[in-house]
Amino acid sequence: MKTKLTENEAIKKAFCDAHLSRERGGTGDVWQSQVMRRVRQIGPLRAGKYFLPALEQIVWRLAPVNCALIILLIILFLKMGLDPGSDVLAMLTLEAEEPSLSQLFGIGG
Amino acid sequence: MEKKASQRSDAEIVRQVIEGEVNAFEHLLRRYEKYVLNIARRHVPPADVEDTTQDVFIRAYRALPGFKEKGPFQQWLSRIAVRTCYDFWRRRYRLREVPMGDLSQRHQEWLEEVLSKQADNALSEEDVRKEATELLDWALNKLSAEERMVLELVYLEGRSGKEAADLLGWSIANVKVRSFRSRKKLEKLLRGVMREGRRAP
Repeated sequence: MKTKLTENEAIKKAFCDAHLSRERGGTGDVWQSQVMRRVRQIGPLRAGKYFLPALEQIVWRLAPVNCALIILLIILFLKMGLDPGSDVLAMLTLEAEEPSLSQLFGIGG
Repeated sequence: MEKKASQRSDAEIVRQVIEGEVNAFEHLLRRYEKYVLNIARRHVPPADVEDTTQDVFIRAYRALPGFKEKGPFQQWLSRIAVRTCYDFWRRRYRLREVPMGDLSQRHQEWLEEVLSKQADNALSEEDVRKEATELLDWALNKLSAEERMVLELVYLEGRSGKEAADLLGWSIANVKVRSFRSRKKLEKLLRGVMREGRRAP
């Protein structure tokens, strides 16, 4: 059975060391003040305000699925010959029988 | 008697910031700057570390009202940091800005040497790390943003599927599938490198 290169101890160790040694890089000191400048521009937070961004994330994440579902349902309805508009029109134009009170309660003839 | 900033807990500082003391956020920034920088350094190119770290803290500031104190602040912040790094790569891949360089003969030879355990004798620790870094970067650039993040968290950092899923905000099943795929791809890439090395005159 061929040994996997990714499971070879020496290769894995070399890759892991290479990955973790990236932490040794240096950075400047300016970025912290830039962060605080942006934070002050954003201004004070409001606890209640958080609900909308969280909801927005969910809505956007589901948007492609929702669009695909809508398109699929439209195709299905068209194939099944469902035309709700004409059904509603037919219902409205039919003469509706208006039962009298006596007919409703079975009184009289 | 008012506590010094260094004595205040993370939760206390978060409450102060939410109540309107915007400048108090700097205490959290100073406390966690190295931690977030290390996460960014592990996942994004050196030239983009500072910008990514800035993004992490800005996102963290905006999301502070959502910090429910159920777990440590550091864990909450690390989730934001990892997801910011993931978003960085998604943007790069979408804009096709990921460098697709080639490997040199030297990398192919290094892989052979490591397998035959000759690398330790032939090369210094620094050289081994340099070759490994270049080969790793080349391979990671061939993966998708999702595969890259999972490979880094699970294979290279040794995190469990559950930890990686928590950091990325994915399901454990998703992490496991991507972990399997990314390792399979890495294996294929490394075997390709070795085949090229043997073919070369």
